[in-house]
Amino acid sequence: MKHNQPRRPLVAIDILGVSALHPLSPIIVAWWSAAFPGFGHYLVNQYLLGTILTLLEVIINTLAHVNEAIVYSFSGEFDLAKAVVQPKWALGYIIIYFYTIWDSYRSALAQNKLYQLTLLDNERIQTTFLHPWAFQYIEKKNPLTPAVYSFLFPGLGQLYNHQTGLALWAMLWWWIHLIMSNVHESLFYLLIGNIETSISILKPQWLLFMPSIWGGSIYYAYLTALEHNRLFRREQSQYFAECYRDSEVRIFP
Amino acid sequence: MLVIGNFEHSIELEQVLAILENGGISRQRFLVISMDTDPPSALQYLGSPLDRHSRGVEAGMAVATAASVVGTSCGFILAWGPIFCGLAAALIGFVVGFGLYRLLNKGTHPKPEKLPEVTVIIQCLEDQSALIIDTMWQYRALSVGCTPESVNNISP
Repeated sequence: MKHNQPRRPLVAIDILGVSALHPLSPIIVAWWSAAFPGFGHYLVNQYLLGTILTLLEVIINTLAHVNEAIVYSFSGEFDLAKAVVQPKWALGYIIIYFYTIWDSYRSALAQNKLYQLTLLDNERIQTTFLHPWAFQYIEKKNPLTPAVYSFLFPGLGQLYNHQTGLALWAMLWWWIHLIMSNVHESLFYLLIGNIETSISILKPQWLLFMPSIWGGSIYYAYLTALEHNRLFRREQSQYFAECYRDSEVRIFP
Repeated sequence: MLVIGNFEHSIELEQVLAILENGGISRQRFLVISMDTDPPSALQYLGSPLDRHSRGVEAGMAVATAASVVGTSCGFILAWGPIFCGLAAALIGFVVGFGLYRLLNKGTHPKPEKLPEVTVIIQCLEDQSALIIDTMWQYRALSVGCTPESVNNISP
């Protein structure tokens, strides 16, 4: 069995979902690392590392009060910004922050090369994984569908894309952010016209994580669906080439 | 005679082939060709996803997220509050990012939504052709044709 494994697989499927090499713009990967440390690593398939980095980001950012300082800075309250940042945590935070950006950037460069070589190898792709607990497979889909679901609740797009592990992690954290930041309550107050209360119950430290999670989840859902469409086409082409190799059709009799 | 159908890559395509094969047309009578929808050189250029809009969406989402963080922050001192300001900034950011990208890359022509990615050619007897044509249309063929001898056999 072992020597049947391709030297460089393009796709890995197991009970937690589908991972695949894909071509990436390294700048875009670096940007997502900057938006939320760890997101760039999700893009380059480093799910375990990405998960640890996102967890570190939430913990250390909160201890250093970085998000609050950002809010104060953009609001022009520079004295408050200076007062709220905790130097004990901030310096280490900054070092890890920039390492994360660089590391995801260089991983994207390396994986682009591997991706190209793997395509040229043209090994057969695994597209289904059946397990008593789960059936994971690559299917064709409209990329807007998972993007819309992640727009409504980050994580749902990933769930639709058969990235079950990532999806459950993202949904858990979106719930935590919703609860800690009071966004949904704030939305209710907004809708009934009570703007003052809706602003005052928001927690900036937690709220400021959310645009990045939201944007990242939508973008990644869209990207993954496109990638799965490409893999589906690729595998089907491989299958047809193999299956109809001995065709006796004569177009010119 | 020959029946020719064009399809997108899809599960339905495999269903057509399986149904016809089970219906008694032997595998050797099929010719199935996957077509490139981009010139092969596109594969060589790394970092260029091969799909329409995806670079634009990439730019749009990146700008939207950045704008949303700024908008949410500023929202704490603006009349509309952080949620509306954040959402509005995200929307404006996406439109600006996507729009700018499309503007700067105007030269590239968009492709039609559905492309004939696979061409299926089946050699069959004249009285089998109507069934084959029907089956192809049932399973999302983009276009179907056959050699002229059987014009009378094409189902309405």
